[in-house]
Amino acid sequence: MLSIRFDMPLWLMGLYGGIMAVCVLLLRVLLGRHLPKRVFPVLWAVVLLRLFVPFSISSPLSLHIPMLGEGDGRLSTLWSVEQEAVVQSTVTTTYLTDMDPLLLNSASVESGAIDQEITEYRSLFPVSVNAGQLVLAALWATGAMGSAAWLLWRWKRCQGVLQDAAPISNRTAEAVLQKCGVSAAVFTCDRIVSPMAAGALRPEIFLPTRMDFHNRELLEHIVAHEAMHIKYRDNWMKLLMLAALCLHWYNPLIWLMARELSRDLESACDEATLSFLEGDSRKSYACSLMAMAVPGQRGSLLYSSFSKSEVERRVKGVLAYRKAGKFLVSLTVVLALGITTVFATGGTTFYDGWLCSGIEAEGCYMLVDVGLNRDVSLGEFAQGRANAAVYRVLAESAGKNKGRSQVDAEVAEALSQEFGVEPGAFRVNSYLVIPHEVVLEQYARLGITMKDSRYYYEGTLVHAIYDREKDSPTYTTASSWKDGGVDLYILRDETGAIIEDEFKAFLWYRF
Amino acid sequence: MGATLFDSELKVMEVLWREGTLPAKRVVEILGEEIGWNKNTTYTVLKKCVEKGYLRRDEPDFQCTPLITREEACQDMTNELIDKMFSGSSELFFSAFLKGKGLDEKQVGRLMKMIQESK
Repeated sequence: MLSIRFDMPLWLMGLYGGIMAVCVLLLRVLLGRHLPKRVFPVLWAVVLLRLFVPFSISSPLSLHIPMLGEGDGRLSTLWSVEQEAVVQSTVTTTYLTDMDPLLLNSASVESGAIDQEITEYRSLFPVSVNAGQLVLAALWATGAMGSAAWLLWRWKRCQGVLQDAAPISNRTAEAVLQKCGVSAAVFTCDRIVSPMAAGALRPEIFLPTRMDFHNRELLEHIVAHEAMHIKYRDNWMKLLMLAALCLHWYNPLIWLMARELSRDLESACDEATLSFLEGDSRKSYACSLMAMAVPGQRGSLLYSSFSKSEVERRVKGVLAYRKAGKFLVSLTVVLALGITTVFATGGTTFYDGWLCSGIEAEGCYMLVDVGLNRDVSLGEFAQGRANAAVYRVLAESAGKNKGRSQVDAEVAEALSQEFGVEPGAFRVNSYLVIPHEVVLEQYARLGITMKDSRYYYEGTLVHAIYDREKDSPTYTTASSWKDGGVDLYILRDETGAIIEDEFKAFLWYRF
Repeated sequence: MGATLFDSELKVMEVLWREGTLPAKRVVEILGEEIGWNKNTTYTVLKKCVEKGYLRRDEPDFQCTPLITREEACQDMTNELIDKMFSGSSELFFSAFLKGKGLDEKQVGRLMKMIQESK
């Protein structure tokens, strides 16, 4: 049922990642207030995975996007020529000869060989690289390197600021760290206003020198908060996020994600801190947030475009904190797993959406093409096996007066059994193909006869015949003769039989 | 005075304003207790304060006497030391406690009221 590949192009990863980011944001708007906050960083991690790893997992959940498989028009024309040849050779050489298993086998081998040939054809015409694509690739590389350089420069500046930080051994801080099971060096720094946890491999905690060290509770809250950042490896996630920004620098949705990810990490961290602190510390913790938002008289010193809402949002979130019950936690886990599954297999990369085409069997008035609705791995000699399975259904249907939709369903079912995937994975198209002598027989019953390659209706020379399946434009014959005197309109049901009630004949006047 | 007062210098001065003249060793003890600074850090900051003329150091025992008042110091503090660039980057690279600053008094009052009134 599952088919996994690792060849998704970067831009498609970015596209899916962007869509996923929007989904996470929508989920946060709809359910954010009711769910434990940790679920959002988890979902962001899944999005980051999508942005980095070119996996493509196809499952029955995958979106049906067969057009993506068609590819370059010129190439598919070449293919279809080859395919016709395959169908004809296989059908005529073996399947008409009473389905001898040995012969069937050799047919598979033969079609396998042609598969091989097609593959070689494909490598002769690799995905054509044109100048436009080269320019795009160069543009992308420039942007990616530019973003990386810009981030590196800012990082260097930050390192410079943290250079003159002084290490401290504060008993309160150490007690909290020990209780959290986190080991990290603690520093004070003159040039920062907010406490922070820095570093991924060797995390360190920086406290602004100006903060009030007499306020033990404040210090405990702050250190616990930073310890939770370290415990949950939030800085690793930020590092990944920065790498994603460099790779997908042109994608505004990824930049939006970066901002919202930071925000969600803080909310999740507040939640973790509150659950770590004993008793109900919501109010005092909210006060700690406020204290850091207004450090002494130096309150409004920094420009920040979303500062006001940021503090307010955090305070509100903290006050609204409730310890999540078992039911809510398990519900959230199920929800997160479900979303992850849909994210992981929803969108797949390009695949060849063609399986087999032009298959007929004697006595059955249908021609069948089969495509793939999703990227299914079909194993060896897929085409030969598909041909055989389709042929078997058609041969069994001969003379049984089955409709096209019934045959389509049976073909999908047979292919499903042959390849072990769900019937929905196959896109079956069938067309009415009725042998000439049968058509003549049917026409005779309506009073249409043929003489010297000309049709006559009740003795009058026919001007035109419009013959097609009802509600479907697929089988249309429109033949016309200049000197005829009558137009015939014939509609068929999906078994190929003529619907006699709907047969119409109109006199044709020539002026 | 012209020079600007760093936060760490302010911490040293705060001890002296509170306790009056103290031997350097005592300042080291107090700041070691309060913040957790080690001896070297405190001595370095003390030295900076002497160089900038914020305090005087007398023998014996390096008695430290503040030379400026708290009010004078407040005028001296500039906020430019806080790297604006840095605070912009901090949310990118670090997990900051709180990234935004700048609540005005009305907002503070409203939020504090909200905290008080919450159940």
